[in-house]
Amino acid sequence: MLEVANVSKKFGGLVAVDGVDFEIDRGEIVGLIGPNGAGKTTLFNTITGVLDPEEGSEITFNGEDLLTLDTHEIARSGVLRTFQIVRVFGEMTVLENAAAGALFGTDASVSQENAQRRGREALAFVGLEDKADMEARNLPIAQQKQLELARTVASDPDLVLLDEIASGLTPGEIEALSNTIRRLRDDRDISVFWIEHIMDAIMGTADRIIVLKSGRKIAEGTPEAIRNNEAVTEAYLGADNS
Amino acid sequence: MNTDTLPGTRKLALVAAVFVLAPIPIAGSGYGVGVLTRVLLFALFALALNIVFGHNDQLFLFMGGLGGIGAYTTALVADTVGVTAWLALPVAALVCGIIGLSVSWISARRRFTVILISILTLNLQLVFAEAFIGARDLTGGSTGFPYELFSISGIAGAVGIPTKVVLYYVILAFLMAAMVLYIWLINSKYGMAFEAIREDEAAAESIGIDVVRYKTIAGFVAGVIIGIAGTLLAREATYITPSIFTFLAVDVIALVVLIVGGIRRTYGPIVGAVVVEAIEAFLSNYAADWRAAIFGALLIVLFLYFRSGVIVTIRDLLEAYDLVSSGGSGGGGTPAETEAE
Ligand SMILES: Nc1ncnc2c1ncn2[C@@H]1O[C@H](COP(=O)(O)OP(=O)(O)OP(=O)(O)O)[C@@H](O)[C@H]1O
Ligand SMILES: [Mg+2]
Repeated sequence: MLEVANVSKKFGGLVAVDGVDFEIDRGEIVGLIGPNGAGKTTLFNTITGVLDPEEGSEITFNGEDLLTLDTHEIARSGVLRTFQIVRVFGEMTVLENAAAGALFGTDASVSQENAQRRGREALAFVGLEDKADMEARNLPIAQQKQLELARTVASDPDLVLLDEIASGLTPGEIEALSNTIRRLRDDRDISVFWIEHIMDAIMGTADRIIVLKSGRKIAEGTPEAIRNNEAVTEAYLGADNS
Repeated sequence: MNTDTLPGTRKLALVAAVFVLAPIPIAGSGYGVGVLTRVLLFALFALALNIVFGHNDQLFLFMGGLGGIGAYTTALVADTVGVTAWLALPVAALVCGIIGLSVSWISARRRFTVILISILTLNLQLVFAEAFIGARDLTGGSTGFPYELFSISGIAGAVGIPTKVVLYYVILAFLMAAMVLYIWLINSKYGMAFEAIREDEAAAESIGIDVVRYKTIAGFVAGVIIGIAGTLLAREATYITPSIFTFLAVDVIALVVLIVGGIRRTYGPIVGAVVVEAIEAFLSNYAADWRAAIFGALLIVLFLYFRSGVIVTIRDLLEAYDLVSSGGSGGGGTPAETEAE
């Protein structure tokens, strides 16, 4: 479904992403881990068209070349994302945020009633339905991240990219979130590409994990294999990481 | 949000009724009708600014110039093609719409900040102002020419009311049409996109909103309204000169009207225009020499204490003294929601 080949991104002299290859198939939950500054968010930004990667990079989604599309077109083709630093529409209500996802996330024209209905459904999916009429900025940050997830779900995507969506959650909430993410795949047929620092959350949920360090992919495999991978352990011990 | 009927139809009808009746007590006074007409005209300019700046963060500071383009184009098309101004006006409005669209398109493509857009449009304002004076063959230069299009005097004669009053009603019809358009727009998918873009452009793009497209649409709609308002402004003056369309004569007033009335509020442009024109009229009657200075000082006060608009401030005051019951989200802060109840 998503094919990423030889993707690099430089900021001046700094190579933030360095020749990364991988694929994500339908029905997969793929984790992306790595120390701070490894290039995880930058990789998301190249996939979603926020940043243009270097010459020679290739990113296709269902055969379509994403590098020729603008950010909003990539969203409409079914690749939606959440942000590491939360970006809800603070002055809108929680429901309006989710409805906006339904209204603009597809090429099909969606009526406002329909968008509201799908927004409500998406809020229920992440467990925010009783907050529907609140202004989004009044939600705690951790719940704003769930709202971002609901906003992507409302547009009925094929693939969602989640950037540290579990940060700030209690262990109980992390468990609930992991369930939600599994239901994305199982009930909604949505693939997930998930950046996370909280190892318990991602190790227990992902089918496969990709490890980035200094822009390079240093390992890829099942959570079990990644846990026992020496290069990975070293990357985490070597990089002073919390 | 209801898409079947326009929200707040009754409130709009009430406002329309007040303006329909307003000239009756002062029908004899050409001056009074003139003041009322200016209220409508600057409400129209401020409404355009509300769309493009209030809802889209694109600060158009060439409303005077663009209005002038509208006015001169209407006259020139009517004259050279030999059609009535009623047919020439849509052409002029379209021309202004395309100018607004182009400015917005370029600014959005190049991701101009609000400051850059205001500098760009202020420059255009200066260019247009020079052109109005320079293109003497077309515009009559700084002496201008009489502007009595739209055969309103004919209607006035037939109905038996003064030309100025007929013109007032014509302008009122345009303002109400613009209000209907505004309320529809803001409650539609466009309004939702505008709000998302204004709050967070990156988030808006990430959910599939074509930011360039929506900003361009806002620029077009505002351009059309400004072109019409400019034409009507010249018609009200009955004589067109470049001095009608300067930055100080149009843009400053429209901006003040919008801020005083309350940015992003449905009735902000109308309320602001009433307040500002009342102050203007009062000052030119009782303190003509000090008019500009006092007006300037008042503006500073208004900006300092009524930044979210007089409607909000007065309602807050009334609530603070328990004169009215607090209605929902009446708190301070920004008036994000357009009130269309
Ligand atoms: N817009 C930018 N301009 C310049 N440098 C950048 C930019 N964005 C990221 N970087 C740099 O690129 C590198 C990778 O950053 P990135 O945000 O992708 O890391 P990350 O893996 O997401 O880290 P974290 O876990 O802390 O979120 C860092 O060194 C960062 O400072
Ligand atoms: Mg990151």
